[in-house]
Amino acid sequence: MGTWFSGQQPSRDQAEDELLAESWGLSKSQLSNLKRRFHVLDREHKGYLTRSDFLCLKGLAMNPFADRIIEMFFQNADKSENEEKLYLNEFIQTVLIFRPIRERDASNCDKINSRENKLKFAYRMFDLDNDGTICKDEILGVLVMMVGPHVDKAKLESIAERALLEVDFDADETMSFEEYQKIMENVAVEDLMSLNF
Amino acid sequence: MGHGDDKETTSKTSYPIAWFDFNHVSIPLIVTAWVVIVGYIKTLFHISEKTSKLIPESCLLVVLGIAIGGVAFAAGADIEHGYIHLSSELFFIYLLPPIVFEAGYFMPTRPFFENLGTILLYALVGTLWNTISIGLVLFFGDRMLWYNEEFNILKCFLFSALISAVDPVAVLAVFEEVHVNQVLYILVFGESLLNDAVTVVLYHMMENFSYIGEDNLEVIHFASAIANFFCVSLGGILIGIIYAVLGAVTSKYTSHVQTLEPIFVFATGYLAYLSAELFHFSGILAIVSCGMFMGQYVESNIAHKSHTTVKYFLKMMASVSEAIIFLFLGLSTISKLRNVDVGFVCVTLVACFVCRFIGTYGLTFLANFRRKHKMDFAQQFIMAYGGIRGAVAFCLAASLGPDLVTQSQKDTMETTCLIVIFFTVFIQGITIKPLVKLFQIKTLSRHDKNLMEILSLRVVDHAMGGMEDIVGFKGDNWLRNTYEKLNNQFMRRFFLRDKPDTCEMDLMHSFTKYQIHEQIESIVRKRSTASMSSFNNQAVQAPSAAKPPASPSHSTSSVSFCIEPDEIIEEKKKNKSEEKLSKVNLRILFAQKPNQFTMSRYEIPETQLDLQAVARWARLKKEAVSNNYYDKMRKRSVFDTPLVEESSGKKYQKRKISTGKDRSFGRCELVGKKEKLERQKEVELGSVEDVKFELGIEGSNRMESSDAHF
Repeated sequence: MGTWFSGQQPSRDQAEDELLAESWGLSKSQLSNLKRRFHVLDREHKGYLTRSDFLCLKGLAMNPFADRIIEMFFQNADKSENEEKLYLNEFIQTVLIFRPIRERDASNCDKINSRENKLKFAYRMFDLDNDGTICKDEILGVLVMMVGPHVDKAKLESIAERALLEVDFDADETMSFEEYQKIMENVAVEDLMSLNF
Repeated sequence: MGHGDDKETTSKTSYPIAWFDFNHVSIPLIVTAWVVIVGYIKTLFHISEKTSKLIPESCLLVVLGIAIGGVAFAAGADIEHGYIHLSSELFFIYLLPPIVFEAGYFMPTRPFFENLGTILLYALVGTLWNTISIGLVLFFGDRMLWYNEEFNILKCFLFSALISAVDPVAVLAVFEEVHVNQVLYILVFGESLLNDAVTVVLYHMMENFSYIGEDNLEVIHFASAIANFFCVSLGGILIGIIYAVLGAVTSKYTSHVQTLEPIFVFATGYLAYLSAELFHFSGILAIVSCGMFMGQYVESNIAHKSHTTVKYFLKMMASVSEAIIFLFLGLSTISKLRNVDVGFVCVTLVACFVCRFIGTYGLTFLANFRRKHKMDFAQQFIMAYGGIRGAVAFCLAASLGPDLVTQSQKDTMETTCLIVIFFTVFIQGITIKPLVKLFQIKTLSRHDKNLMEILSLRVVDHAMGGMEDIVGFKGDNWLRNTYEKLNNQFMRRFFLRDKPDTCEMDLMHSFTKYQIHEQIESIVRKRSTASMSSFNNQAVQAPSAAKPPASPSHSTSSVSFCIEPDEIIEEKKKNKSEEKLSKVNLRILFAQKPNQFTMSRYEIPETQLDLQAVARWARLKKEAVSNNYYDKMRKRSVFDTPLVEESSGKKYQKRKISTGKDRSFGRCELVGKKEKLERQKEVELGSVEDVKFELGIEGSNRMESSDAHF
């Protein structure tokens, strides 16, 4: 089991596994499920994941946002060598964002699965160039990804512009995360962006 | 001249000038008279806003029924066998189907399927628990309290089978005024619909067991009952889907007989119900699944006016049916309320109430383990409290055969049913609204979604589907994604008249509405030379029926418009110097936001833009051109430029967006290349750019991005 941990940390034994699981708010079985999944995804048993490993999943490959989702994982990845490597810790960290919010951590905003972090995930899905702000072109890009090539581009463009205009309270032609939060305040993100794993 | 039969051979010396012949039209006359009376009552009831908020309509109708029954009884009418009597045949075959069909057709599918697990848990396990516990309590209550009648255990279970089911009609009637949040409503209402299968099975099971006799029961009989359950429920759903497929395919080809489209919708639903009843399968499940399945495809295929007709007609029938049911329930009381067995009634009431609460709380505890959106105690209370019994129970009791129960036992059962129904409908119906306020239950949110929200929700859907793929956990999102893929690949191609050019039909639909609204605003703005700054306060959306000349800076986000072609041509004939749109009278109708969930009997949410009116107008314009009318009116010839331009032609600036590999294109190839080219040559009816172009807006090159900026 020890080989699946990040190369930077020393291998741990099972008792410390439990500690890890608790710090992440997972049960032992949940943690072992995730580890097993990591193992399954890592077909060549390298100890880390690359983008192509993700794309081997058929269901994911058909998803219009496959690249964006994979990008979200790899934002924390180890980019030291030429290849991007995603180790178990970072994998779990990203997955943890989708842990359902329980009552006892509702008040704790620093938790990894807080509403803010969930919204941030959604926000970053739009942010195609990863610069922290969303401009009209990025919204248009997301639209095109979802809707497909057959729809009239002018229509999509005007939609993107209108969408941005509704959100852009400080009139700087970009949407910042705070503006996004304000727009999404009526949406029950905690329920939508939760996985039972 | 069919009266020849009435004249006897006895010779008549007088020649009758006019005579009264009731039997000639008795049945249709009475039916129509009742329907009209019900209509008057409803109208009168709604004139006073205060009463309609306090007391649900159903209560008033029942009281009125009792009053009318009392008057008729006092006048000596034969109410037992006359026309004022809720017979179970009338109820199950004529009155119940419209209500359930309307519910199924307009059921919001997504919340329903998201909560399906919980709904099934309540409907199946909950109803079973109710039946068993109420039956046991009744049986043991016999020892403690004095019943007038002798009820053996089978009869107790027979009665509890019919009294334990939550009634969809009553739930609808009561929850109509109480605007609880969508999830709670779906749970209670979904349960009331789906428990029909269990009720039917249990009722027939107890019936058959009674025939077989208490002492002859064996395991094989129980096994048959369970097999019967699967038959009833799955058979019902299967029949519903078969008819739905039929209906959807039919709607594909009815473009030339648009006025017939509504009849296909109604007939398909009703046939599904009746066919299921042929085999004693669950008719309610059949009609609900037919409505839900057919609705998605039929709505896209049929004309806008047919869509409105279907909506109006269904709501009207459901409304009238419901009113008749409650009125007749009231009427039936007078004749039935003779045999009040106080002990039996009390035990039943208490048992129903308590068992329902225990059942709901227990099951929700189980369900909350798997639910994302956990139900809290207050909501569970309202769910338990909303377990209202209705006419289904009464009619099942009324249809008990004489070989099953003695007449006095049957009377007792019917009476008890009535009392339980009245208790739940009156007391629970009236007090549920204040309780909802007291517990501060989340009510239906009516806020309008802005564009970014709509977009984000879809993005999140896809993201969650992807996450579930990655984590390897096949949850709701994965199920929904798979269904959507199947839908897009096979079903939509098969059922829809016009092949959709995108996978995201609902999304594009909401966007189209926004865009049309934008165009109206731009027209309005052009006329009043308003500056760009007036457009930054888009956030305030106060709907108003603004006519363009009057209020230029209005922005309403819930607008759809229908341009009357005759009007425009008239106007143009009057005004010689029109380059701009200043004198054209656009009639702006109101429409609510798309996907407006409503429980009301009287509100009809508009979901479709009348694009066909726009298309009709565009066509008429084209005809007007052939008279060279426009050449005189304008300096330039309008129709030099083609009506449709290549959508990805040189005029558009190609924007480079780095989105990684173009993975999305493979799946959305719903339109073949040939079809796409053909379509580009046709007149694209209803496109926003066409509208703008045809209305002669300055600089309306389809591409001008400055105009599309709003």
